Amino acid sequence: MAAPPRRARRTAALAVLAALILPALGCGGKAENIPQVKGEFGSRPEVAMPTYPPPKDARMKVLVEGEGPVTRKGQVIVTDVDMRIWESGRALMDTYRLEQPTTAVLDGQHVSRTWDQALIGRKAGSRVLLVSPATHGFGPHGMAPAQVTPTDHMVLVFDVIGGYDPKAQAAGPGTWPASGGFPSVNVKAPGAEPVMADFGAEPRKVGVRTLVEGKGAPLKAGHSVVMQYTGVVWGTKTPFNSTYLRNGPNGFVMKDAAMLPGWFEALEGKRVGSRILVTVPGNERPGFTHTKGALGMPKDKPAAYVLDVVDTRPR
Amino acid sequence: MASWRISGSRALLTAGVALTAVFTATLPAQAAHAPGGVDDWGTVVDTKDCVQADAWLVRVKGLGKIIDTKLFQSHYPTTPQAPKQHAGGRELINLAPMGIGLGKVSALYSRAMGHAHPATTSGKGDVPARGEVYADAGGAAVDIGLPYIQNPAGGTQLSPFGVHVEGITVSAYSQPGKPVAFTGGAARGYISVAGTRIIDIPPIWAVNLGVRIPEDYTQAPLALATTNEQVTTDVKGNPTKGPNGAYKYDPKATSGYVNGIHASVLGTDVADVTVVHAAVLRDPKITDKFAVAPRAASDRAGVPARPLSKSCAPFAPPRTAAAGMKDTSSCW
Repeated sequence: MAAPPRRARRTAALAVLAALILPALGCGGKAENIPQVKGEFGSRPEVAMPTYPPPKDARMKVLVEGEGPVTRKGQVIVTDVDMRIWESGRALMDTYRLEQPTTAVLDGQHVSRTWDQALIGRKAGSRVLLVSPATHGFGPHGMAPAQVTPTDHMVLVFDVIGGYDPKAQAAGPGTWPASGGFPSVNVKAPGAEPVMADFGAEPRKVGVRTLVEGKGAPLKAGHSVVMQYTGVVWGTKTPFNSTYLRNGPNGFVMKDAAMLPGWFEALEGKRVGSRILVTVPGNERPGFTHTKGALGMPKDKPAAYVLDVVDTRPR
Repeated sequence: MASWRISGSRALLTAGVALTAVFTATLPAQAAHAPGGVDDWGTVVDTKDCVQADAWLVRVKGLGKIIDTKLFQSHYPTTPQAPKQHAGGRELINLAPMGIGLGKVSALYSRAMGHAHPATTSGKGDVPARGEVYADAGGAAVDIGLPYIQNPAGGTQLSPFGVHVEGITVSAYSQPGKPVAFTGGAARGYISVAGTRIIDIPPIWAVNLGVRIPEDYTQAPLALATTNEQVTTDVKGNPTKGPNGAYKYDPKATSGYVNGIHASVLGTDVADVTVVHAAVLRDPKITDKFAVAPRAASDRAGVPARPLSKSCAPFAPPRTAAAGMKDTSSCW
């Protein structure tokens, strides 16, 4: 048999080398035992499930490195997430179709510690893959989500919008007197929930008053926006919904249908760092109660909101 | 409004609602979660006893400042965090652990007993029965929201995700020589989103009844829920498995748990809630010797081998039964 040409031998040697090295570098799908994920940050990922068995323990991989600030322990993480079952490929839930990013508290008490590993220390804008036994893929202390058997495995893809202090706000304390049909606003201390008072006649159209002009990135349609907000039915004191009463900032998609009536109109073109007072008449969106992502308000009631724009990110 | 619908084979889990005097955040000093960290069963404690029971009323995760919390947890053997039972009155109790509103409940109870079973007649004490183990939980009215946001105009809560059930009850019962038996159900109820009733819960719950919310498959699911979820486990609380290693209901199992409602929710904040839970563990290798062939022994007369009602716990309400509760010796 004739000896192979030198070029062929070199090619064969490189192929063998690649076969040995690439899996170790994480370039070989089966060697890593993880699903293949396609798609851009901010869009619902396409996930191809492997045909081989899932790993016994949870595994995490940063698929796309973002360019934003690094998330830290103690922050709440605003993220999009897509959740599926490895064994069946069945899609469970996702925030992309809901057009409602979710807020996760990573203190080991709210969601599984596997979420900590996937989401802490990531740059905002990163896409992260998490594979986990179902008992450690969602809630803490080993409970599988509803309609998931305890022996299944979950595949989660996160798009990290950012990490935020639970009391993050666009601006500090201050008082803004009532004027021009707008109620007064008082923020007593850093991180305190704005309190609205001195309501006049009910609004007849959407009103927008910029309390603090932001100097950050502008808000654009279709992007994600992260805010603290509080909302009251016109003339009342107790908020019907408020991020201050929950975990901290929530993420939203800059689309009229993904937000409460009046919000999109009030936010478009504003900048990060803005504090905005919005008044909305009861007939602004007749019959509306909630968005697909369960962001809701009392039906056909006039309302007032204070929106603190904390961050924005393309999606 | 859509109707409740069976979602298929994957429906699973959950539970816990209700009750009384003190709510207990479960930080079990003696807890030894089942191997692998699976604690769907409940809090498995280190004990040399051959039976164990656990029950709670509401377990919430991922909600504001509310940590993973089991409200009104009962356990056998008792722990510093979980007494043998809780029992509440008819008045509404405002559940606001950690300062955050969770909802309102009334006439709630949870019980966990080992080497005993409840009396069949209201007003009588519990009946010692070596090797038996029993747990139940329930309530007259439960209104839970994630988070709970009261409607200023009255009516359905404004919570992004809300559960309202009336007459909810679950029980788990394991006797020597017999497999574990479960009951679960509610008189009526509904799930709401931001003040809108999305799904009515029918009075009779099929086992592992599941639903996606909304039910319209052209829309993305906001939440997944399961009612009357019944899961069999081994004697350590791990789900029973089939030959392929996946969970499989074992009709011969002597241990397991039942959950009234379990919901996993996305939306603005990730959350997971279970309403009413009852769980038992019984080691048949040790306890089956206590089986009594014809059930005519004096302390067992009248106790059904399986619960008679699909929708009601088979025994007396806990307050009346509590008076006769006794510690019984271990079977070791």
